[in-house]
Amino acid sequence: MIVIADDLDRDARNNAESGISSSQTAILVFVPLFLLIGLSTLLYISSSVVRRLKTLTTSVEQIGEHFVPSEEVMRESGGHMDEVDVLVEKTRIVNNKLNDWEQELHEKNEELIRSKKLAAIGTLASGVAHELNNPINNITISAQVLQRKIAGDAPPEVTQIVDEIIGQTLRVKGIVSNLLEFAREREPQLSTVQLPEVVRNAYEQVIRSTDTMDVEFTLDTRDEISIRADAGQLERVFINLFSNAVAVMEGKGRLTVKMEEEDGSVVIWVSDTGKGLSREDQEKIFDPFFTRREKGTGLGLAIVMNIIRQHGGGITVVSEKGMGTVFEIHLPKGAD
Amino acid sequence: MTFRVLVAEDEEIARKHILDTLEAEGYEVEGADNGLDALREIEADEFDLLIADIKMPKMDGLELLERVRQVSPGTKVIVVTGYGSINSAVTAMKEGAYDYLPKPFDLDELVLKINKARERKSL
Ligand SMILES: Nc1ncnc2c1ncn2[C@@H]1O[C@H](COP(=O)(O)OP(=O)(O)OP(=O)(O)O)[C@@H](O)[C@H]1O
Ligand SMILES: [Mg+2]
Repeated sequence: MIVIADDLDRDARNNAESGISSSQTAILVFVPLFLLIGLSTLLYISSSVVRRLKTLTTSVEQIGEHFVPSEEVMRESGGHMDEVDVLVEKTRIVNNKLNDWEQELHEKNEELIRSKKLAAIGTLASGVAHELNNPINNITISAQVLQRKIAGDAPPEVTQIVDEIIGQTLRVKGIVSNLLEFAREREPQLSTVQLPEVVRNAYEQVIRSTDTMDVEFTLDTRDEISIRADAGQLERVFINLFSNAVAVMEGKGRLTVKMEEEDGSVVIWVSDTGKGLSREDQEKIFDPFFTRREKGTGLGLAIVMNIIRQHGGGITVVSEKGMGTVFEIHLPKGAD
Repeated sequence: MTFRVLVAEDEEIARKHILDTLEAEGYEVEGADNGLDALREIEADEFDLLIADIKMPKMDGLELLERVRQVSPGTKVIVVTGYGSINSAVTAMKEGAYDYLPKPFDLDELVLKINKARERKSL
């Protein structure tokens, strides 16, 4: 019984031992094999990654080199940079530039839309204005004939109504001529004009149509500043600015014009002591049809802007609510 | 002395009122509602003065002015322009117009201009 058990035991142990030795052989063979396969796969993958990274690096380098040469980046960093740092720095710079460009593109686009919109408004305005010419003329003439017919023997309120009709047609006439002035992209007819004279003429025109009794007008300038410009259009610019100022000051305050020559150009400041402009309004005042006045058409400053631009100049506004307003105009003097 | 005025204006209301007003002022008047008819009138008859709207069917005021200068140099021409047509007013004056009047105009102003033209003739 026991002998049989011993035999069985030995058999089993032999079996087990041969099993162990064969699996040892397997380990000896397969582990290095797998290791080899694994390593070479890894090597393959990593070398392909490195190769691609290199390509990427080269293209980033090329883009970067286009914007900022490596030497410059190195110089600015004081030379404490390895290649990767330079690359990172360059990517940052490129990124910044792209952002700037996007911003610029956006602004240009807005400007384009604005000028297209203005052109469209201009075409429409001029079409409407021309169509209005005849009906307004008819109304005015009819009212004038009526006025002549009833002269002397109509009840006062009838005479008054007829006068009102005529007054209102004059108002429409004003709006229509503003519309046309705005719509008309007339090339300036250049001649040599004396700026102070234009300014004085413009103010005289404003005096004629508005109450300026309590406005103190000052023109601070050398006697002669001449530029090449369209005299009529420039006068329009100052008439519009002055009548705005007088309106805002409600006929009481100081209106000052100052001008200085810089080489090749003239700077003109028109300032008033009116109620000023909110930041929000400052952005909009040059838009056509923007107005805060009950009887305004909102075209005055749009016309001003058009004329100044056509002369190759610029106009900006500085104001603070309650502190008055200053318009600054730059105009090239033009060839003489 | 009679002073004959032709009014070339396609807008009926304006034409009628101008004619009535001038008639009341003692002028002898005729009307035409387009440039071509106005030219025919002037070729057929004598007029001292022509009031011509710039914008008219068939023949515009500027062309009418040019033709009238040729066929009847003695006829003075007052051109009526729309707004924003300062340029056409300037052209008209260069082409020999006697005067111009921008729309919408004052009837008194028109009468004044015509009175002056008549005074000149009687001198
Ligand atoms: N000097 C100023 N001070 C304060 N606000 C001003 C001044 N000039 C213009 N503004 C504001 O800007 C708006 C636009 O001015 P703009 O001349 O374009 O049109 P308007 O005067 O309203 O009408 P319009 O000139 O066509 O009769 C005005 O309604 C006013 O609110
Ligand atoms: Mg204004």
